[in-house]
Amino acid sequence: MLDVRDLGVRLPTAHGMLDALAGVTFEIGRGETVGLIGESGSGKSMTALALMGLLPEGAQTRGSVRLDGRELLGLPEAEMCDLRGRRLAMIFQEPMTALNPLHTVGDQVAEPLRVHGGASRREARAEALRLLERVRLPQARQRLDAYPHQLSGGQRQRVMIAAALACGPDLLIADEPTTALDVTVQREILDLVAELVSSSDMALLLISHDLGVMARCVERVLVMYGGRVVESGPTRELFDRLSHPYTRGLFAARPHLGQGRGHRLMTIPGRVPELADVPPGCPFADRCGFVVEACRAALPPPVPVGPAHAARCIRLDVVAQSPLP
Amino acid sequence: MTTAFAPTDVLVHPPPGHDAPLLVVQDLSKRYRLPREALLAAPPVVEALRHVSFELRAGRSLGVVGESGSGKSTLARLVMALEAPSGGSVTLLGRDLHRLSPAELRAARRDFQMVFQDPYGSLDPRQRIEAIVAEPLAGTASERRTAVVEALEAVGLRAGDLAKYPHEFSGGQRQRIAIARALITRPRLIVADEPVSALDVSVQAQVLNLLDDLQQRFGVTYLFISHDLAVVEHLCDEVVVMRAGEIVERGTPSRLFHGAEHPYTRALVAAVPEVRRGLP
Repeated sequence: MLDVRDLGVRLPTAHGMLDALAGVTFEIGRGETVGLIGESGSGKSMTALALMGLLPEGAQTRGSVRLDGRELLGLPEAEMCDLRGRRLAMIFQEPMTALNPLHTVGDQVAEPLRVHGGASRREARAEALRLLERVRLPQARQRLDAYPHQLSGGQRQRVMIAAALACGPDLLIADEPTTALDVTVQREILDLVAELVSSSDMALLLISHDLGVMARCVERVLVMYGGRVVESGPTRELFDRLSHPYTRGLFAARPHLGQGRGHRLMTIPGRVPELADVPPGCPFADRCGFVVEACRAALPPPVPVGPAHAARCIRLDVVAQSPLP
Repeated sequence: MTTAFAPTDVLVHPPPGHDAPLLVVQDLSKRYRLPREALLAAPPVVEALRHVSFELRAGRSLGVVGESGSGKSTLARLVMALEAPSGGSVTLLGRDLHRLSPAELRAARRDFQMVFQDPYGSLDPRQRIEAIVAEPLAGTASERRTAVVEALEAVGLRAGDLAKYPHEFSGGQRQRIAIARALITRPRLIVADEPVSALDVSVQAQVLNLLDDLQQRFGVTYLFISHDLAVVEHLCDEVVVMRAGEIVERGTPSRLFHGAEHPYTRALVAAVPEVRRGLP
């Protein structure tokens, strides 16, 4: 359904035009769930914005993004606007900033129905109520006329999801949808998203820095670093055979419940690079313990390591022999 | 990385786990009065903290977990004597912090310092690192500079960073600066409110290891507030679980997270998404 080929985005910065994304290639089938893992500056949110046609002004794109064969890059804004909400919908990390504080919850959920569906005010309101009930907003009927500030964070996120679902999109992009929420509420929201996806043929692109969230929610994972996809594969297979040095480092850097006190966490030296500091060749070269001169020469190609599982690393044989941190 | 933080200083501190507790929180309560809803009605009252009691021994770490609104941050503010309690006491090194005179409290503050969640918001962007880190410290300019350099080195930054501004550092480095500022008075207690939550995963580990090292070297005691159970288990000897202003369960992390009795603790543990990796 969605076919992203060699997607690149260049952004104007104080240091000139810089690559925010390069060579990003993946597909999402109808009803499929895919996760993008990465830290700040890895390019995961930029990927989402490129798919939605919401890139910052002056951004240059390369490659192609096709939705059922139709090229989205370079599409006139009016046509892109028609696709947003109707076929592609997005929910954000902080529902308080994404919702309009001056409009009632009912109006905001109804808006896409009136814009895209041409529904009357009364029809849209009835449908908004149905959607709010579907995302299990407590006391949905009374809350139609409530304002966002009268709701809790978890309830606001439910409202955002309801608005995103309004037109029955083919792809839901969820950018860190639970990061700002308490852990028990996180669980409820993730379960809700999983349930909505499995009960329709809507596909999900879930963006998160949390490996645990990915393990629970998606069938396939892409690991991003420095604007490149450095590893990708089916979730279970990828976690069973962590291959790229960055993915392995990310896994080892997190304390896990049950490890107990006092052991030393593995660290990845240095920090996530700014756009201007992403080295040529492998973006992880400056922080990698396995780096050799050849790593800096060119971006390594995806090397197959298992069924549908590949990593962009030329040292995989050496990496695989070293104990997992 | 010696002198002001020399081993002799560590020896002055009693070895961990011995003698009287460093911090005693006794029956601590805090009520907030909300704005009146009707002219003649009594204003509604929120009980943010209800009869919370615990002890913390020198050189140990106590984790406080709970969701937003559970009272964890109110507890931190009362322990830091940033607000007065409605009832109960906070006793550090035998002194009831909320009964000290303003001058005594100012002097006592060198014994307890705080590290906040947001390394972007907690450092003044217009001040150089030297001024930021030296802020809690009295003394002559040269004494202060020596102490700043030592504190920066203790957290893995360099003397060359003295004249820089906060924006020149990454999030993880800013949190190191905030920790250096907390360390500079050589406090016995550091209250850390979600100190790694705003950091990238690969940088979190560096800061967690640093907090561990500082405890080993200087015998610092931590009151560690977090919603992240795995982080708490990693750093703490004991945990209290808070809900609606009360402690609902307490114990060692391994007992709490693997054999919790309170349904709320069990719900918290069950909600943590974990990666279950098969063996290679």
